[in-house]
Amino acid sequence: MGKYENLFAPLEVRNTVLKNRILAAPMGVPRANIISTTDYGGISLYDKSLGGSAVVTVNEYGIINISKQKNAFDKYARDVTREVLSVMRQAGSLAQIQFGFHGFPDENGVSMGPSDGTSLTGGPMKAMTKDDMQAMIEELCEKAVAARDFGFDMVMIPMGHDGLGSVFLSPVWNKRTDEYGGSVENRTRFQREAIQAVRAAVGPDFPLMVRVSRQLMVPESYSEDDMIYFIQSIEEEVDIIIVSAGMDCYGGSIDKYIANTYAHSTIFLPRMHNLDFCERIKQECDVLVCAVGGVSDPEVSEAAIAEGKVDLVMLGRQLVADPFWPKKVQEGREKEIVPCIRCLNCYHISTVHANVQCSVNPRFRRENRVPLALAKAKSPKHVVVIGGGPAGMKAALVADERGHDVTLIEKSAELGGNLKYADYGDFKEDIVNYREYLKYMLSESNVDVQLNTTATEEYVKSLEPEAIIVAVGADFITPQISGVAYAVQAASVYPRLDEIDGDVVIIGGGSIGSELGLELAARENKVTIVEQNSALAERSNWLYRHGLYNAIRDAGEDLDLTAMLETTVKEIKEDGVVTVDKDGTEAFVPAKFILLAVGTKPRKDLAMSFYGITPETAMVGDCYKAAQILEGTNEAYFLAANL
Amino acid sequence: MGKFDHLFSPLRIHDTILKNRVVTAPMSVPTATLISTTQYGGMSLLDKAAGGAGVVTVCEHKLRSVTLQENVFQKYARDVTREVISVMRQAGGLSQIELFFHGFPDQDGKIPGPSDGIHHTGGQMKALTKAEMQTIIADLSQYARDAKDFGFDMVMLHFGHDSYCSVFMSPVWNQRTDEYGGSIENRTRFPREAIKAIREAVGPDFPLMVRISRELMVPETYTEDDMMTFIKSVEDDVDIINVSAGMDCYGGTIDKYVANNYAMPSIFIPRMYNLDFCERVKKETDLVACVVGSVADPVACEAAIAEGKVDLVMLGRQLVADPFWPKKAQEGREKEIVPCLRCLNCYHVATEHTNVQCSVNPRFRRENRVPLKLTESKSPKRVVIVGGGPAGMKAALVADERGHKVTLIEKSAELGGNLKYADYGDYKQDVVDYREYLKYMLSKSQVDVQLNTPATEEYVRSLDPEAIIVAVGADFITPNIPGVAYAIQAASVYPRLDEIDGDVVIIGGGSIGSELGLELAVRENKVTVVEQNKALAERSNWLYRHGLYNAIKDQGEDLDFTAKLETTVKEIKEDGVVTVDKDGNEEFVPADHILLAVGTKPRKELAISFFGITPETAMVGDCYKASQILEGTNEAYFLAANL
Repeated sequence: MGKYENLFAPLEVRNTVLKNRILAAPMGVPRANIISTTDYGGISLYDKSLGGSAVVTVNEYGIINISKQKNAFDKYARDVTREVLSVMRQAGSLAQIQFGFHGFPDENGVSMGPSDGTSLTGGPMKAMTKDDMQAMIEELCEKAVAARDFGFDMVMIPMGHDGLGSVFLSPVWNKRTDEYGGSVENRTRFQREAIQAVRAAVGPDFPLMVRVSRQLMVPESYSEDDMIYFIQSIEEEVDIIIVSAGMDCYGGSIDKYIANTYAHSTIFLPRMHNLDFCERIKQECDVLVCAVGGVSDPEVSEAAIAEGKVDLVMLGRQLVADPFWPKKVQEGREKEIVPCIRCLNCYHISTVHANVQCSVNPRFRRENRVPLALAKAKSPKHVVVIGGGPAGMKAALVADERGHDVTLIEKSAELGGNLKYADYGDFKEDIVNYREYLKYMLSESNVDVQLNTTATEEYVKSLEPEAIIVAVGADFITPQISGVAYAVQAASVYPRLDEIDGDVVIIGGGSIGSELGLELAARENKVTIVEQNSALAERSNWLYRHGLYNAIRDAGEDLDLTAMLETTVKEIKEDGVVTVDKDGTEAFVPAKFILLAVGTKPRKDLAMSFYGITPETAMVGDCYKAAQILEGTNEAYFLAANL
Repeated sequence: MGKFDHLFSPLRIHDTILKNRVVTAPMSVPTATLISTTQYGGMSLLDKAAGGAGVVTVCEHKLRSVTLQENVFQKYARDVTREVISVMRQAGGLSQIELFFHGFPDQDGKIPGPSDGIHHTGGQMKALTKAEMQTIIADLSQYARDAKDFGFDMVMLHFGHDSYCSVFMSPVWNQRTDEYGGSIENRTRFPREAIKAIREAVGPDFPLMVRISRELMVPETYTEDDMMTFIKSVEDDVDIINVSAGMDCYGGTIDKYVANNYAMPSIFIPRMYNLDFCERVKKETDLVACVVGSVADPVACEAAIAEGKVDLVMLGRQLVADPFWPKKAQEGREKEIVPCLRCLNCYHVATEHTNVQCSVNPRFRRENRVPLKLTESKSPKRVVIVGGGPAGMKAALVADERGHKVTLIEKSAELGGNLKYADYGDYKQDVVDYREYLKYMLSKSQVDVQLNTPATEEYVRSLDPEAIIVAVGADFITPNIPGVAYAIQAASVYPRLDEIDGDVVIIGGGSIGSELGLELAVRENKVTVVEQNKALAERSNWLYRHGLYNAIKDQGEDLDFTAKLETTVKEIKEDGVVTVDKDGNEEFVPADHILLAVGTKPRKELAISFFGITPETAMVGDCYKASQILEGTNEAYFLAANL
């Protein structure tokens, strides 16, 4: 306690006691996980239930996906629901279920909503009749009562994101002329009737939470004042308001999910970006308030509660990175928390199911084969890890956990590899935290870290390793363009961002070039990014891309950032570059600074030089294939765990 | 050995040797167990196979539901069947498969049977032709032969409960006028022909067990004499007669499953209630007799075998409660056997899948996440448990198993909580046994049990706990009825049941009020139970309810027991109560004793007072939600296991 007194203060809500102020968010699981884990209807639900949150939340859809029944409380769904509930309660957390309040498309693709027209997902929307609305309210009430009787401790009703709550409150989507459209009183009537009916159905002793989006972050949105009006009108029925923002599925195709990055925040958003609105609710409404979205730092959470800005915090992706966040904080081991780097790869839409992993937690969706703690090796080996970047550091930590005798060789004076550049960017605090986490864990381990040590074949051989993990990384590519000597590597300017003063051309608009371009433009430079593909950061995941595009848009019209897409650089001169667009048209772009961001190339020759010393040799990280923290961490874990 | 010489003496049947006299019953698993366990086609089959029984039995029907094939020996079913045999044989038990001799509904919902008419499950029954009967016999013979060839050690033929044998033997359901109807010789012809054909198919040396119902316990039944006639007529072809009673599915809907209760006995039926018929089989034939139905006490089993009443005992639900019953008895650790409460929650029809758990064994259907033995905690904590009822005791035992330093505080002079009342009732032997089991295990543990110790916040704080489990239970509710001072709590009369003499009114007909009413009526008092719901014990599970209703019915007409349903009490007077029925009619019911049984209310305020001492605090049992031993035990297990 002490340091986190407020975060761990119990809270009584209608005779139900929350042991602390931490809630686990409901998060859906991609369906095709038959082989990868025991599915309890929510991402990492099993571990989150062990992790020490006061409340664990499951989405009813998750249970329905497993039981293949229409309703979590149908006869043949009950066995599954009972087991899910038992898992949720297994370490004393309260169990909460979230029900949908959505107008999902029917077999003909028609969504229900306030009016006839186009739905927020782009398909046809059909106006709900009053009977439709009444039927939906009745179904919600039945489910809430069933949940209470089945043994759930609380119910959460989503009125935010793409739910009917958002669509009815929108003055654009809601064109009704009856008592459910027009004024804010009318636009909130359906939602209010639903909440009032649920309260009447479950009785006065059952806690109810409502999740809202403070704003939808799209032009069709209602205002924050509208939302305050709605909350005030339901404050007697509702116990806790959970404040999110943005939408899901806006536009209906992945290249239009622009509001998703406010519901699932990327590196481009500040942490706890909904806190101000929480504070406003606390001031203007009589209801408990819970912040969700980018909640990751326990000190910030403690301060926000202590200062009366919020009562509770709900963690989503951070509990994917480390489901034991609450326990670690409670026990004063907050430095051991694995930070979420907000890459959003855990959210299947990011890569359209291509790469649903956690960058920092290999156990995510793999509870079946990644144990909570590794068993000690029966025959400890001398393991040499070459390279102190994120993959090498992770491999060293895991090998150490297995009880091997580990030497980590790093040629520079500091651990971290390319993560060192994160110190200078505006969007890289999550990465810095992850690097510092790895360094802290190494400092607590038995790994022999050798800095300023160049790993030659002779030196490695002299250590008599029984296993070698090669994690020597990649080089930034210098392209074969005439005049390339006038350019410098983009990464090299990070330590002196504020010295860059004047027009900038960045050759290459992947994530490095784009982020750097945004940062330099935000520092009032004129920036031109020349990119051969048809979009910036084309190879990055969709949520990162939307986050990036939104950040550029949100910086406003003063930002002088130009992306020349489907364009290559033919020649670099002292004072600018000659570009060629897809039609073959040449242009001269003047620049004081010409930066190269055309990717990296694995250090294959160096890596291969360590083969032949011992048969147990493998590459991991960027020297294996140039990739991201995700690949390096997951590969390093498995490699080291199986030594 | 010594104490259980007969129970653990081997038995030879042809060339097959049973290492002891314990046989596990085939028990089905609800199908929707996708997430809860490794499915081997039978309840707790993995553990039962490890538990030491001489024979382990699997039900063909359920094995088929795992293989998703029509026949468990078909090509694509064989891999599963092979693995199931391997599991069954893993600790030296013999493997037995139960085959069905049943008529199941065809596509049109018609059920084959002896005659056209109404089937006992409520559907249409269609008379079998002789050709169809010969096909059934041929198929079953082939199936038995396949089982033998595949490697099963024994076959059990299900000729009891809902089988053709039961239906053909019933003089009511069997209205045939050919050689399969009429006389007892004729009514037993079809099952007899089947057994003779099966014996021929499997050869003379293969052990055959036949399960029968000694009586169906419904008006349509045959007599026990009829059954003896049948058994004698198959004596040469059968090795073991397995004696059950009652039916499954009589009436076809859950509120008519009245005969189920004799096949799966509830607390209202004496233990081993089929033993007398076993003795008769032994006297009148040379067959081996095996008793099933509420076999729980190893001392009673030993005596029954020693006295020649029976040769084998078959355990069903008791092995759900503790699959290691045989091993524990064999090793003289019979006090460590976890007694079955006969709550029947493990049988999915009891709650229509709502709450399929074992009251006393959290590992039931959860072999995947409840280990046979917990590992010691790496960081033992000081754990304080407040309250020595069943949930508190269980939590203390589990925390102790994990190696924590456990203090159990109980304000009264005895452990047991509300289980103390079980000492006085007629139907509570199982609960008494469970309480004594918990007390015995605590006496063998390291738990510091502090009796006569009220747990104040100050006192608990002074123990400097690192985790607190609050299990302070619930209070009996005193309703707001004028004159309530003339009434006393029902529970308070338990210690002096024989002193209650005269007319009794019990306000509240839940399980406590109903059971007490029955006991007082059996003691020749005039008893009136006033219940606001439509049925007695309306919130209890269906099998308990049928057990209760049957127990009242079986007492006969002399029992002076009246249930006034859908009726409330308006006023309590010194000499009786004023009731109001659903139509508003008032009535005065005179009484010498007025007892309150209107439920319990969690001691929330007391429970909440222990929050805030240490962040690791949780409620369990009746103070969390008023419920049953089932909820308290399972929640206590998980909570303590995860400390």
